[in-house]
Amino acid sequence: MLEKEISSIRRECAAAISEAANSQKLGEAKVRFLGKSGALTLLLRELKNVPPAEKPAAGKLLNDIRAELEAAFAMAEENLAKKERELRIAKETLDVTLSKPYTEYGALHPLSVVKNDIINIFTGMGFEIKDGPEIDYEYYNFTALNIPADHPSRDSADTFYINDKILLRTQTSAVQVHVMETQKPPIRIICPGKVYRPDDDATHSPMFQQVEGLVIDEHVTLSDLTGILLEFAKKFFSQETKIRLRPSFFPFTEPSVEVDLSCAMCGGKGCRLCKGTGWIELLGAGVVNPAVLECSGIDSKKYSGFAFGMGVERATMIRYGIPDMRLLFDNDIRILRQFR
Amino acid sequence: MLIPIKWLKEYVSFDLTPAELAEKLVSCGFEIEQIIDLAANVKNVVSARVVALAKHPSADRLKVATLDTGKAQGVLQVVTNSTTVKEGDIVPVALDGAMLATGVRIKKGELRGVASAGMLCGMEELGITEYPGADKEGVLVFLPDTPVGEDVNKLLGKDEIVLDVGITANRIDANSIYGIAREVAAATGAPLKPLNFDYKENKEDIASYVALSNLAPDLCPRYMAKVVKNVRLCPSPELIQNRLRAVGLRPINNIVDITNYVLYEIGQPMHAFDLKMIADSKITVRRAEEEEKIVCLDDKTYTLGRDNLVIANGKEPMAIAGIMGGKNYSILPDTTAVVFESARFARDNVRKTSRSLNLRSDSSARFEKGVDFWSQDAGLRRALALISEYGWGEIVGGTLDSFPVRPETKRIVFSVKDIERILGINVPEQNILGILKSLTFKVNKEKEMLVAEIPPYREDMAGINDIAEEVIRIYGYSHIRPELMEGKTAAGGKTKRQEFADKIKNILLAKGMSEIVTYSFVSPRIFDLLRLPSEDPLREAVKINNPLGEDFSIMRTTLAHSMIKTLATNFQRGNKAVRLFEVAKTYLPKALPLTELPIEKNTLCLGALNDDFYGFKSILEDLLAVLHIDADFIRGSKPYLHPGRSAIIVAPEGSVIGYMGEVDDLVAANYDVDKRLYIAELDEEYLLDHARSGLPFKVNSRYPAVERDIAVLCDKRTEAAELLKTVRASGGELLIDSYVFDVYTGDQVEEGKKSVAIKLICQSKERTLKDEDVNAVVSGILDALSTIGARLR
Repeated sequence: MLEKEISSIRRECAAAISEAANSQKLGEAKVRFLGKSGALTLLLRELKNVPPAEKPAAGKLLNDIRAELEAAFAMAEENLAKKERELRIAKETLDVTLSKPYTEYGALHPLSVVKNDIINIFTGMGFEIKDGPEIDYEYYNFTALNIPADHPSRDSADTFYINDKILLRTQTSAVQVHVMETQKPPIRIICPGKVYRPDDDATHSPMFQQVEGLVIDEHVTLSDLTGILLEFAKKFFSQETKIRLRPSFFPFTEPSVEVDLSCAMCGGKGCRLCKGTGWIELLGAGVVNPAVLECSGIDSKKYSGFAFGMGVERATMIRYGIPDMRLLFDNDIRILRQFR
Repeated sequence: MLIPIKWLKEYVSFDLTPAELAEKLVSCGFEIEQIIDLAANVKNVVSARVVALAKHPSADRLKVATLDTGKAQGVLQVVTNSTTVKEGDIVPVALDGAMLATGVRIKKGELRGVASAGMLCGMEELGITEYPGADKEGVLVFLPDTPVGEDVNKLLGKDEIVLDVGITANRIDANSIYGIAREVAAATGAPLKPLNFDYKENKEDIASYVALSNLAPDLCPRYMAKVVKNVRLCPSPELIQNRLRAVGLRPINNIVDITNYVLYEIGQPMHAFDLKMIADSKITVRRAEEEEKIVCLDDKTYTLGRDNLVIANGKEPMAIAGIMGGKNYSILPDTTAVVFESARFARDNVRKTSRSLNLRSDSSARFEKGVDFWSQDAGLRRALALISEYGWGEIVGGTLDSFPVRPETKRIVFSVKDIERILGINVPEQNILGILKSLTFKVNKEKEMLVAEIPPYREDMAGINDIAEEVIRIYGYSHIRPELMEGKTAAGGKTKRQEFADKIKNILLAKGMSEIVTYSFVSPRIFDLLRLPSEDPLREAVKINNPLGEDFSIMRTTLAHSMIKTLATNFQRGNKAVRLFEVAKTYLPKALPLTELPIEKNTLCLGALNDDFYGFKSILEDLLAVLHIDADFIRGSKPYLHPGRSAIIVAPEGSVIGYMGEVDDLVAANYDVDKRLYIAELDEEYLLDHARSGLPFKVNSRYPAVERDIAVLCDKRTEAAELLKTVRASGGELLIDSYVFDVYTGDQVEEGKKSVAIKLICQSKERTLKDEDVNAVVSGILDALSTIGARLR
């Protein structure tokens, strides 16, 4: 009698499991058989009416069938969950090659990129960054830099004047003087900034940026200048970069040199960028003229120094192969974005 | 400075190719702009005698010339259309494969059935513009004594290589062929040949011909003059003519040519006056009178003033000193006696006069660069030596010479150690001595020290550093060994401010903004484009006295124009989404006209095209949040902003640190833009002064936060800031955050009102909040809101 009912429940349950199309249906079926008032639960309650002698056997039968059904449901649940997950994933699958509009990272201006690189190389070598006025007294731009009153660079064809005494600085060297007036040696600074000269063509802009460097300490020599600039050249272009000094002239340095770097594009073999010479002129430099030190109240017997200056526009044009300086002030987003 | 190499070799011998010579000069401090081969344009053209001239058998206008080209190619036959060439003439003939100055290449061929070995040439084809007695048109006929079979470049003095040498401003002594010869001698070790200064003068005294008075020694520190009489005026010899042509000058006559020759050879500009024209026999160097006039050699009249120096006779100016002579005093065919002037004029005065009169000459160009004190005497003696050499006149004894302040011989005392201290390498004493001697310095040893006597033409030499430079530029910079400095380690690096400046840019980049760089100078018309009222303080700008043009004539007081202009340019080029920023100075004068330096204020400007107000504002809000600057956006405007869509940005202590908003459509129209533009300017100095990091670190509450949304109805004009201020003031310490997440006006809301949805977030540090805790906070807030006319919806 009991066995008959058990086998009927087993049969019905198997049918219900195979019919259940989803987890919900399966859950309902589970309740129908194993729930508080499920078929098997009710049968279990009947056990109390079974004669004591038959109880152990009946109990075992009922427990076995219960374990069997629970296992069957667990397996069915697992199968169904797996199937449902597969379906959902198939349904949710995206075309990963599609995109949606997003805020694009902006671009630093190429002049800032190059200026930052220059600054970072020198700050890494223990230089500080100093700033000075762009509109300055002619004293700082010329007189204190040992540029005589009759020097042609003071001419209005080469300098923007506000009045007789005040001008737009033509060189960041003017910052040197401001610093030397307020800071005593050792001095190890770079001065990046805008400068102004009345030129406007493919290789000149009336406003451009320079980075000036100044080192003043005891026992500073031309060899030290060469060492620092070689280090700079290697970091700015590549480890293979070589430098070459050529004698030149700046009123505020003596000796003065032009510093050529081996061409970054051809490595010195000669190409369009270096006009076949293998060298690129990038920096002016020299040993600080003792007259400049004395003018700022620094004892030139005790201290010596060197200074160097370079044009950021020129360095940028060389690095990126930009043919016309005016493109650097075009500010077309399509140009700027190339420098991200 | 043009340096013909053959001319240079007259003073120093060397066995170098032009390229090698160029490299030597570069290595000792002279840039080579160009190496010019004067013969480059004309190749394979020789002189030939016309031995026979016959009619062309089948063309009336052509002739068949039989030419003797001597050692070149013997006898040749050439067909020509020349009507002027005669038998016996010596003419240039372009041989097979020749190249002409016109760019044409010549090949032998046939003309109407008659073989032609080449072509007869005219001046244009030879690249010349004049030849003694020759016509500009037609075939050139050489002078009768011209050798046959010579290369025409040689005949015309064009077989010469010229170096264009850049001379740095300090080396005025090197602005001459002899000056460069000194350098070549030092660089190659070859001896420098002395100049020929030999001349004989007669027993007369110049004083009986002319007197000198120098009334302006400040502008004319030296004036020398000599008289030459019985002058034989004639063309210069070919050598002189060719040399002058090689440096781009036109030969005129022997006297004028001598002055030009000396200008290039010595670097001394000279002038020759016709003696008979010197009224009262007096040369006076003086400042011009106001409104004094002179007609110069260029046939133009110049009006002078007290700042201009003239060389005058007893009556009127004969020359503008150092610039140009007067037309009436020039050397003419009837000149029989001349006064040679060799002077030094102050370079800035020559420059200023030349600029103000807009009158330039080879002489003024040289004086502007500067002429050393050695050159007056050397130049004058060279001119007289040439007169003497060629027998062109009788040199009168005595010299007029005004030399008020004779410079003393300069001596520089130094030691070998001094040189090492500057260069960082040891240059042996014998090398130092050798180099300085090769540069014509006299060096003596006095105990441990060396004393260098500086030659008079080296006015640039001031001290030991100059000696060090002389030594190393000849010794060679390749000897310098790169070294890293010894000494104390410097701290270096960026300051906090400089780091925050970088951080600001990085934040903006992440917001999709790209950096621009624009000119600091703008046009004064920008204030009209921006619709600034006439009394607006931004119109008070620093003005450039000599701008490149009105568009670049004032220093900007705002970055707004440059930003709007850049946005407009991008818009006009079809660029779509554009977000830009610029960090630059604005220049704010304390008073105009400027008596002290203006305030230079670092300013941050942001701009956007195809953005919206709140999107643009969010960039600023997040920027300020990251910098931990708790600024408020308050309604406020600028003349160039949309009055309803603009805000000023106010710092906690109440100062205005910037503005933002939509560009007014009338202003946008001034820039030809019909789209909405957004712009903001912030005081970067304030940001850098007040930016800080978020530290110290705070521990978050362990207890859960509870969110409540409320929607209140309020007057449409009530601003979110007012509602939130009330919410925050009344929320107590449990309210940790609140913000507006929706604003609604429409059907469900009565006219003139709006519904504002506010998110309230409550949290305690001590416990989990219960419903009644949060209810109490919300009801407190609602009570407070009702006092400003906002009630729960």
